[in-house]
Amino acid sequence: MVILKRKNSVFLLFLVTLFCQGQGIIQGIIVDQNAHPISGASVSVVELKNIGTSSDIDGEFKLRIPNGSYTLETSYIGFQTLLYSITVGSSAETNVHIILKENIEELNDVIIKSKTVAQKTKEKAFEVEIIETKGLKNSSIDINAVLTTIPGVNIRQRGGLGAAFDFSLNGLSGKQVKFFIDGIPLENFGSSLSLNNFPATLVERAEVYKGVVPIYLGADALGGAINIITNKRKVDFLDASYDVGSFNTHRATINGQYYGKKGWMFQLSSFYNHSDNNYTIDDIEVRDELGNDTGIRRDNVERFHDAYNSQMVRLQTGFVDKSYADRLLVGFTASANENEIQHPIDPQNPFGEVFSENNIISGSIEFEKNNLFKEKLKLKIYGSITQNNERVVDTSSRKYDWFGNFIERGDQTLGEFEASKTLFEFKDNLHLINALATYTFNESHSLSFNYTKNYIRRKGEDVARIGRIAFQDPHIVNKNILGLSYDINLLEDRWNTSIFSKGYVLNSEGIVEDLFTNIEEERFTQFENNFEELGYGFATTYKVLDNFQIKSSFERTFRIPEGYEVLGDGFLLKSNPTLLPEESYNANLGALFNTAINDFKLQIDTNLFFRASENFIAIRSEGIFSRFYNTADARSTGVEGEIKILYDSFFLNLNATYQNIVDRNAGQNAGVTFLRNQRIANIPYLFGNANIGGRFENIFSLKDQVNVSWSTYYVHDYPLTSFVEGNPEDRDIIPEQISHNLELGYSFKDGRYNISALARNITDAKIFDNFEIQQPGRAFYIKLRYYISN
Amino acid sequence: MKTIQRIKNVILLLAIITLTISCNSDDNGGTIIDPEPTTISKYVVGFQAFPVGQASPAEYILDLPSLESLTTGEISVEGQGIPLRGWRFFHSAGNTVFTAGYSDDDKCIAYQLDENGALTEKANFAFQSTLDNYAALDDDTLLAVELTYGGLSDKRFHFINAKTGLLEKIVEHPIDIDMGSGTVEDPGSIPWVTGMILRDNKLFVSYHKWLADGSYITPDVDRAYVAIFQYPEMELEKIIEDDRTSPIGVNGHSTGIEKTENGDIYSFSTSALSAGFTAASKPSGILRINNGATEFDTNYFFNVEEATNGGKLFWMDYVGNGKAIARIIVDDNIGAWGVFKEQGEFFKLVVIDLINKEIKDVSGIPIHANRYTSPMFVEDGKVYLSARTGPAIGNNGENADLGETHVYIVDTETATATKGAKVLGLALKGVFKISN
Repeated sequence: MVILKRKNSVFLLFLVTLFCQGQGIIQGIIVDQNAHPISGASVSVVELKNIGTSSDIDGEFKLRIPNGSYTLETSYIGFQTLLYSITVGSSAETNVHIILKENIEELNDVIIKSKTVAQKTKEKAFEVEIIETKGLKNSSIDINAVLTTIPGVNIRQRGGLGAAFDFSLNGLSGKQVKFFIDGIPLENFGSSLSLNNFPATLVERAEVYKGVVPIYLGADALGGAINIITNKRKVDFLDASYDVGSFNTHRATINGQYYGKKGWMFQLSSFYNHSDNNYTIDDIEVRDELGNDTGIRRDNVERFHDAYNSQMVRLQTGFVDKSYADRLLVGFTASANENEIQHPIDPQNPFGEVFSENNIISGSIEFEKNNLFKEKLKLKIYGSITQNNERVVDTSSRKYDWFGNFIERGDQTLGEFEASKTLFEFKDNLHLINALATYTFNESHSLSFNYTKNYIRRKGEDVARIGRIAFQDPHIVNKNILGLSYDINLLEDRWNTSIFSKGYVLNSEGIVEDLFTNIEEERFTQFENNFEELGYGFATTYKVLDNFQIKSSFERTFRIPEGYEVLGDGFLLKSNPTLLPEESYNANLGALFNTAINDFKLQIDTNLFFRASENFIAIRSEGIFSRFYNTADARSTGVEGEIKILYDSFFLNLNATYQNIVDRNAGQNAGVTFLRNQRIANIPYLFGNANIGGRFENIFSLKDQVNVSWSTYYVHDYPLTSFVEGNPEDRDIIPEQISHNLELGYSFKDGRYNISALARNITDAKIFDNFEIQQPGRAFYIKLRYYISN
Repeated sequence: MKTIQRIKNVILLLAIITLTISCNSDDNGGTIIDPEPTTISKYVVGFQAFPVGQASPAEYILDLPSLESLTTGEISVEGQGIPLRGWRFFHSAGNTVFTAGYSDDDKCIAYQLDENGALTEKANFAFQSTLDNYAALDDDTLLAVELTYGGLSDKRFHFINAKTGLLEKIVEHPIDIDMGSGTVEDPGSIPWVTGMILRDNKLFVSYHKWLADGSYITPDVDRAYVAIFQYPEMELEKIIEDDRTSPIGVNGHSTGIEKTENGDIYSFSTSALSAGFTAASKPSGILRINNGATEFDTNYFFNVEEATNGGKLFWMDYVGNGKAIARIIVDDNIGAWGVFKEQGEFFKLVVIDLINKEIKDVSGIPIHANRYTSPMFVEDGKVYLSARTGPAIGNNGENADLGETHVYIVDTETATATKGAKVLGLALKGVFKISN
């Protein structure tokens, strides 16, 4: 997987400048075999100790060294180290063009395993954004905040750390976008692992696939996928960080790995997060004892029941580089969280006691062998067994107000959140198998096959209730996703194409009890449902010029309904055995251009996207019941673009997205035009961000680094209910959002000691991501990180 | 903010009106004439729009300038109407329209016409769970009662001042709670109010029962019962019952019992398994409590289920002259709560002659759907109601495009309906007329 675009270059290394006389300048560019720049590659001079640098976002580097003949050593993870002889003269700059060859074996350890050149190139044809977190490891920012800076991505937070969020990618959202950690579906990790609690320190890279998803991410992703790649470097290291900030926020990580002499390895990843999230919000209604609105509004009211904490530990051990396997590892993961719920999606009435908790125990085994059949066949198999317990604790009948006061409600059976008190818990048993095989015919042709099986058995329990509960009879969902892709790489790597097909086979079963029938034989029904769908697509890219590339991708894709959407929950959520999968035709057309004039570098990237989706699944009420139905046929069209400018040690990134999402069957057959193809409300449609800063090295000591960056986020206002209905003066609007963050960082001793300070929402702006849910105001964070590696 | 904006609009509107008036006057040479202080009346509807995207249908409160808006053309909220939150009830008392949220919103908002005739929020209050039944006791008082599907707590009667829109007091009363023994076998039962009528100094409250365990099972379906309270003391005088029919009223409707011009009270019982009851042993029918009496009239029972043109009642509302309008369930075998969908061929409309026990099918209105109904709007003896026609929406959303909603104007004397304005939405959840 080669990096197509680099975000947040604030975190990327800049050039070293040494102030000496009688020196020459070497400048050059480091590219891969496909002429794509490699950033972050290290360049050192063999003859001179302590002189070296890294390539920047465009793969370029600059070194000042005394005149003479030298050997440049260039290396980057996943590539063969290259030695390059040069002579530096006194008068002119020396320009070099270094092409690094991929080191297949090492690469396998770096990223998703078993990548041939052709496959690797294939990835580039996809409309994919890569976030490099190298610099982010020192930052207090979480992954969500980083992903927000990607064009086409909008994340709507409902509160502080750990709060629920809605991730939208080119207009598709919710279960339509799938998340992975190292290729494993995030849904297998429960709620305690989430994009808004996963610390950047543990993340190597994040890939965002827009609408068209390669087969090795085995899921029914209707609108795209995000793959978080954790540390895969094959070095011994210890990485510890502690982060403290506003609202009693504490975050700590310990992360390390050790490779023994006989191929034994051990890896540890862990984190702990806590926040009270007790930020203040404004315009809170003051009501009298009967509940009448007094007309008084109060500002600076503290959120009082929003604390969150989560923790995870993950151990992996096994052998690498053995004759029987390149990797054979067993893993163990335990994680848990506890999340106080301050209010439902509508924040007018707060909760004071309800909370949810989750814990997960998981064991996994991973096998990888790359050189079967004369190094033609690569094989990777991953299997895991997981138990996930998710519980809602809602045992208070009190009714709270925003000032922390409460009344005991007369009906003591009522819960705060639920209609009746609950200790509802569902226990999921999950089994996952993921197998990927790649056969390489030659440098230009390869064939891959991927199989993912995800089995979930869900059972509900509620010790607080004596009556019927949801999921009393277990539900079983068995998802099988097969993928086959053929990758071609022609015209001296100028033209790369992947064509693929995916088979979705989903089976769900369960017993549904109909409480409302008087006929005993009809009371219990065994439900079984099978879905079989065939998806297909392609991704292709052609390099018109060395610095101009066009890309196009297409996928016919599906989201198969989850078990509860089809079967109901055995209580008030009724079954809909004829529910159809959500389906979509997704297409992208993009172009990438970059140029450099002396120290000034420019990269422009743009993408047109089109999503024609049908059978959106939504819940509808029927008396006391509700049921999932196929509803809207939606069409999302839009354009996103990004401009990156680098000048010396300074950078500027700008990006913006405009999307138009319409419901093609809105208004039913009312026979009037204003209802037809109506824009879907409560979705942001114009947003962007800007990021400006610099990175300066060797300021106070050798191999230290100072970073400064200022980022601005913008979301245009949008209506809650409708774009066309209701008096415009009376419409509820989610107002325009503009927020600014400032970050300062200092690293010294070659990255061993790091300290960073982040000021979020520095103007203390009132920001609403969801209607009337105010986001945190100004907040400060300080992070300390220690990193040592061999 | 919104209020300020609204005030600005009103000022702007005033300015425009004034300007227009002054321009139109031939001989006043630009002098401003004070508009006559006249009473402005408007029709106000609760409007349920079509769903867009994955969101539930949005609801609006919309004022219409004249009766013609209901009888001809189209009613839409394009660029007009005030958006409200979540699924709502609409009721009125005097010149105030109240709308209370259901699961997504726990506010009851009072709307009135301001001095310029603009529909304006007068006040609002928040309640604890949900206000499920309503009655305008007189022009000054709306009574709303908070109910639950489980638990053994007292029911909470909310007395709301229709002039100010404010909640003035809450009276808690068990009405008719069976505390049970707290076991799975005997969880007790609780009343679900389906109608409230104030006559002289007595409040008649009809209800059916739920098991208190939250199972949505209706016990004790072999009788009809009405609690009689002394008003305004809200002291329970007695509970009367009658075993000729089943419990009175249907979930979501407030017209389980109603009073005629001469003070007689009529009730309707559904006995329908598709209308929220889990058992039925008695026919759907109508009972009477004569004026002055506090017992059911033993000489009066109208077995609607057995009658010519009859069937199981889903809803009935008294119009006048001894006549009521009603919806009769076409097919009761479509599953629990089956007729509570937004669209489907569920009901026929009939006129019931309560005194002569006769039922006439109303011509001019097809078999239709209309899940919850605010009290009927009647003007000049004619009923204005909203009905959605079209086949039931399939599980994959089929047939949604075949539905149409219209206002129908029903003449109860001739049992004929004429199709009025087309509603560019799912339903009008209530039609009201108010004055400033």
